[in-house]
Amino acid sequence: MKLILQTIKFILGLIGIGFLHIAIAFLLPPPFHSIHVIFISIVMILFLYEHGSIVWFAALLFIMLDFPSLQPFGLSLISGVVATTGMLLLYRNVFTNRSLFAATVLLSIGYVLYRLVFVASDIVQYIVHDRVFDVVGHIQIYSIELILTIVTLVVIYLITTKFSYKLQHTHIQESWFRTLRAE
Amino acid sequence: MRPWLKSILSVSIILCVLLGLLLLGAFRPLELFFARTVTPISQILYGASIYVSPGYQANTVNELIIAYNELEKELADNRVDAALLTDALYENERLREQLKFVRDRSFDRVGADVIGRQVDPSESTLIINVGTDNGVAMHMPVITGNGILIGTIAKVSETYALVRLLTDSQSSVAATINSDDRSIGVVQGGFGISVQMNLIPQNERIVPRDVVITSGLTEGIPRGLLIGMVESVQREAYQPFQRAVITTPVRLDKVTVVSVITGV
Repeated sequence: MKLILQTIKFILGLIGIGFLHIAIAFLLPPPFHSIHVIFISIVMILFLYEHGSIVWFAALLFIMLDFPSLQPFGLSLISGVVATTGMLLLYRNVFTNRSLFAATVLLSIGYVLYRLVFVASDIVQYIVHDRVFDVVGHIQIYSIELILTIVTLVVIYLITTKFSYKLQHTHIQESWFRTLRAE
Repeated sequence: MRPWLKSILSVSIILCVLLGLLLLGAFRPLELFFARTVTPISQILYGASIYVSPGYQANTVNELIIAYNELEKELADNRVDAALLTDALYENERLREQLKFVRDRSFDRVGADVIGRQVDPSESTLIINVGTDNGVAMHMPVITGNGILIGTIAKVSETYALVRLLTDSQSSVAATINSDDRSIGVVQGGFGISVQMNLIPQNERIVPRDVVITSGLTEGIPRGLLIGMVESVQREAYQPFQRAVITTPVRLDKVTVVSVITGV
């Protein structure tokens, strides 16, 4: 029964976040339409549940971004999984706390990892297919996206901290250091 | 096994499995499911976005007055142009008749509703509700109204297609300016809501308000589709080419109904 409920929660969460991301992209005026709801959700879920299944969750979310995209299929998926894994490992082993600072830095690192794969793909396409690679334009777009996403995360984090008992506990439950110490 | 090694190994396995599934086409049903479920919701959200954020918004009364005066002036100019055009059209028809030259400008088209736009801010695309099932194929031109080019098909599935708008940084269409020199060049995106026409020879005369149309040199795109009007010209003495900033007649991201030209 518990497993069924968890599965339902997983699927509903997936659909909800996916549609919220699309709704933000369509409904908000520029530049606010570039707020990356998926990254905010990943950081918040990571803080709340601290479970490795976040990588699967992120994979399914990012694959949804691959369908309405002109980038080579699978690019969002791969970069999203790489970014989420990086965030999970850093959270468990470097930050090991649930502070606002940790949340913003995790999001920034995750986002940079995510976009680095895109930039690498653009460079490859620029070399192989002679496509346009607008460095300044990319930096502008990605910087705005990152700043707005961080600001939104800060607001959501501060609101959630007021209501979530779990987020008021600073230190995380799992860590390699703790595992190693126990061994 | 060390925990970090275990984590990296498990992620590598996940990635390999996902990539394998992608290459085998296992996500095709998921894509179709996505297209069927997301399409109606996306259409509602896109419709709402047009309603929520209309094309032009004035922040002050003064801005509105200035915009109104500009439109009045433009309307007067357009009336003069329309009169000249009617005259030219009449003359043209007579000449064509005399030459027994018949030019059929009726294209095979497929009508489509716009059901969404890009989610990634680095792209400039529209999602339309027609695909290969309706005869749509890659690189086909997409128009709105009676011949305003908005982009080309850049990705196509059975039930939906992605239109790369002229404003996308990867968009490139051969164009010509309806002036005395008939300058040719390439219209490229990546400059916000306007587009740029590059590779125009330096010695040719271009002035603001010149009309830019497709030249027919890009494969699959017929000649004569309207792209926009010259807004300003950028000319450097030491450069072999000049550039023109073009404004499109419609806000490309606010279009709701389009046609895909499937046959010329």
